[in-house]
Amino acid sequence: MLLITRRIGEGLVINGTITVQVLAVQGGRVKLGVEYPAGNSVFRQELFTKIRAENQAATLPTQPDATTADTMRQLTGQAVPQPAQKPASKPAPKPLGKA
Amino acid sequence: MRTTTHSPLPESVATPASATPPSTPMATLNESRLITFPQGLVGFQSFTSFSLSRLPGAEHVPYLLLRSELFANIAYYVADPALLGLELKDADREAALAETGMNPATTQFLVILNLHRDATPPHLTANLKAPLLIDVATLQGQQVILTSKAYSTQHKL
Repeated sequence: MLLITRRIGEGLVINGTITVQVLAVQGGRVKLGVEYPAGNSVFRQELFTKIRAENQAATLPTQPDATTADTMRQLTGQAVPQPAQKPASKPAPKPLGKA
Repeated sequence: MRTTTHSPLPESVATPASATPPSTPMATLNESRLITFPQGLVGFQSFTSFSLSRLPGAEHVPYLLLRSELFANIAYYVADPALLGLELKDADREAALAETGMNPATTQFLVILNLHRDATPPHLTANLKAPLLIDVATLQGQQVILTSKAYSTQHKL
């Protein structure tokens, strides 16, 4: 990890396109201003982690069993067939970034 | 994945032959389509290509199947929130569209469903916090995290 000390008003440039500036420091909280080109995304780390975890949790089982179909039928009040199966070609990759 | 246009669909994905979709943009999502997510899903940047389809024989259920083209064991149930009685506020939709630069006229919002099979009782939740935006004209998609605190990642249905 790169460690850099910055004062209020100072900043960083990442990849020549992204700037992070320290705007204010108060009571253990640091206010940052981030400028980045369209097509990039910036999230609070804990929010990113939460959404990633939810994306992972919502993945359907590889072989949806009768319970899955039954539960969906029950919960939606509709007939729910099992999704068509494709042979698994590769294992799922691990999530990117820190765990 | 090499293309984002109307590609041949995998044989396992059935195209509903009968149901004639209404003439709204969102209805076109009822057909089997290949959707490209250039940035992948949040936390899963390598998941860039998905097939979106009706479940075979289930033309009337309010959700669709989103299956990774590359990783066949990655699939989600997704749904139009409106069909589930859920609402994303106009202001939040507009903010998401502005952030992604996607075309409001052709972009549809879908939410990922999470089936909690092992909970008692089993229940479904919808991720309203991070909807999928899909442009039905370009077949490009992006998952957006809404800034509003009004939305939950596990909104109980």
